[in-house]
Amino acid sequence: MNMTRVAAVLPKEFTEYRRNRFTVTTAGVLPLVFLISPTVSILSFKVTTASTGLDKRVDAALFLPLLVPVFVPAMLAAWAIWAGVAISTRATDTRVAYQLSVLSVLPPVAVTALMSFNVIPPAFGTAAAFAGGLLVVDCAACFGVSRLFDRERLVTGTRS
Amino acid sequence: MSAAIEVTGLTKRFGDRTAVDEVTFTVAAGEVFGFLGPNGAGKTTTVRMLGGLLAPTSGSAAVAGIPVAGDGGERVRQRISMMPEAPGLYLKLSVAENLDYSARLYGIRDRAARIARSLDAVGLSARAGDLCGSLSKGLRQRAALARTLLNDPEVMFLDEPASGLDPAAAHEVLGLIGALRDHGVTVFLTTHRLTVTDPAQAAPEVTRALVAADADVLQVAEEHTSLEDVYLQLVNDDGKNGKEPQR
Repeated sequence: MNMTRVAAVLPKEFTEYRRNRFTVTTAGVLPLVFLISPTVSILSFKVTTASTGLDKRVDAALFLPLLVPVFVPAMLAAWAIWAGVAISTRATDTRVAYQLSVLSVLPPVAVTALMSFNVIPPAFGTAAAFAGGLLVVDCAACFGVSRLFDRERLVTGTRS
Repeated sequence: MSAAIEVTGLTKRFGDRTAVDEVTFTVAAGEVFGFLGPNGAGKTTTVRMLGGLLAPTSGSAAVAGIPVAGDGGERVRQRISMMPEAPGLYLKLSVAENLDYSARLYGIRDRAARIARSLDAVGLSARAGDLCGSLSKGLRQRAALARTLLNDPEVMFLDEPASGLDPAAAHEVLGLIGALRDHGVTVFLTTHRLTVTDPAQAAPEVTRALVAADADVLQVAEEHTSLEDVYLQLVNDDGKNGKEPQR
């Protein structure tokens, strides 16, 4: 990894994000949603709730809106990036690459959705295993995808 | 005068299609060299090979004294700059930010001074803070030209630098390119427009021009020789002229 290039790309990307209203709005609003939701949930408990039941409900209130949306999506985002990069190294049409990249993130997103709807029990162990699995896949993709880069194909759209 | 670019029998094939066929020429240091030809003649492919972006199928080339093949590509890219037909500026970034990004990629230490000098050279200092998305096409070309100056290149490759510009803007950009000759920079300029490269007519800053008619037929028009006849002859007699370059 060339740190000079990383040091060049990061400030450029952040500047571009800062200038994109949609990104700024999303980055500002979503954390608020994930803070307000568990706070409201916890404050809505009745004072008569038993302490044993209260622990579980607090866990559930914090687990789904805070832990899952922070850790799992980070792994999902990394997966989406690698899948997108891998497709981009082979697709010659930008729109096709974009659409295929969107499709590639659906399976892991589906698992997250199934957990949200209680089809898969939203236990910490399940989420941790899922995130761990994604982490392994992301690390493997980091090395695998970088080998897919072919300068000639990227520059000309074909190979000699 | 030493050679800035030396090309011998350079060939590039994509499958069955030959994009560049045994091209041979030399460009002297400090020369503004026009590489002229119709669409599909292999101009861009030649530039990409000389810039180390594509590997030649056969033949050899050296830029700034460094062979472009093998490990030489990386070293060559440190000493040249390229301006593709589409400038590829980040439209959400200002002119200065675009240049800063490129300067960081080059690993330049005195970035602010270099950026200021590059912008000054193309007359864009007053627009340094403007977003590239708000600039006209001519000004974007200027910004792209400023970017190519950042690393103090020995050789500049400019691919269709006046493409899509109105005559006034094209004239301005060509004037800037001509001024680079005074700084000792070798400029390799590709275009399909005769008026851009003809040393005897509209672009006296171009010292010499080479016509690539069909990827394999080359002809050089020396200084003060009109290119129009050479160009038309090669394009009209496609395949009848043989492959021997005529000087």
